[in-house]
Amino acid sequence: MKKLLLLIITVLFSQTLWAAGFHYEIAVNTTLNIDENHQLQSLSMQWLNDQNTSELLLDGSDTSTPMMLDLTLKSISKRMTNALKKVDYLTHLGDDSGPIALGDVKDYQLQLNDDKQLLLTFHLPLKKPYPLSQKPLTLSHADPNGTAILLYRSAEHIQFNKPDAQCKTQITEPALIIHGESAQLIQITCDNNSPNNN
Amino acid sequence: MPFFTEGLLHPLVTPSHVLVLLSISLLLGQQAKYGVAWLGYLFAFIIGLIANRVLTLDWQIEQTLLLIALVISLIALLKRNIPTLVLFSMTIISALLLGFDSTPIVLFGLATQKIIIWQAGAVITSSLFLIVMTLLAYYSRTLLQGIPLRVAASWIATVALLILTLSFVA
Repeated sequence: MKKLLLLIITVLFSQTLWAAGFHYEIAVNTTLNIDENHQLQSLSMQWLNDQNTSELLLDGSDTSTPMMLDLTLKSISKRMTNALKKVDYLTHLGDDSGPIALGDVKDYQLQLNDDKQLLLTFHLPLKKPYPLSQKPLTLSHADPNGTAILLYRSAEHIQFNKPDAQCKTQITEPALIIHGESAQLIQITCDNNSPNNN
Repeated sequence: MPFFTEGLLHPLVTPSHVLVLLSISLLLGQQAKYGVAWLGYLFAFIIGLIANRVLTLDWQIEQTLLLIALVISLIALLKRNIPTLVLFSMTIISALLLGFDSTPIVLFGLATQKIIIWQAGAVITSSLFLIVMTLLAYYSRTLLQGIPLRVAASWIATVALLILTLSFVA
């Protein structure tokens, strides 16, 4: 009887852990857009969903013709960006003074690549241009629901629109990823290269 | 229709939901008061589902559900007459929380229709499970002076308590 009770508890508890564990990965590419005054204006992002997630999102939708696929993708992208707006596009940008305010995405596109993965491309403006300096900038992505895990495959996936921006990026991964928190912390340091100093 | 199937299965594969459903069915069957409670459960569950779309609760619902299962099963274990209003209130609160905790995977861009289909599946299974288990409890409430039901209640309480404890430790 005791063994049966222990078995029931083990099965039910393991189900609890499993049921709480649905996650999906999004591979991220970000370009930081810097203007001629060495100010950060916006982030151009590409989020690549994995095949399973893409399948779930497309399930039941009409993708029989290129036109229907296009309509479906427009519909999904609109829902995605509306939902992401409520969670600040899962993006946190800040420096040691605190968070840097982000604006709303107006420019976005969803594509289906040859590997049947959905690729969301969007342009996330800052509310006010941020003057880059030697003060480190922190970028992170976190889903408060704890289901989406946004990852940069390498530091090369964080770029700058100006090759001469003289900025460095460093990605650190916390030893323990807490549910609902970022899987990576990106630190960006730029040389104080503003036109006023030249 | 994978979303509908997943919704159907959800109440059966979520331990806290199973335990709450078992405990409340057991109590309703034992007390032989279930007709209005079933209806109340259905409506409260649906309200819980709708509330999930508009509200965000910043607490561990799962642990609350396990606590509810523990309390209700302990009441069933004691085999006392419970006022109808108290019984009905426990059913409604359980249903509200179960409904609130019944959500499909959160995927940005997922069509609302798919979420509703999933939730419809959850409503069906949850309600049918409650009805079936309540009837089982009702027809066995006088068997061996009600001891099997009380033993089942003690098992539910034990399992709920242990999972609750493990969830704090883990």
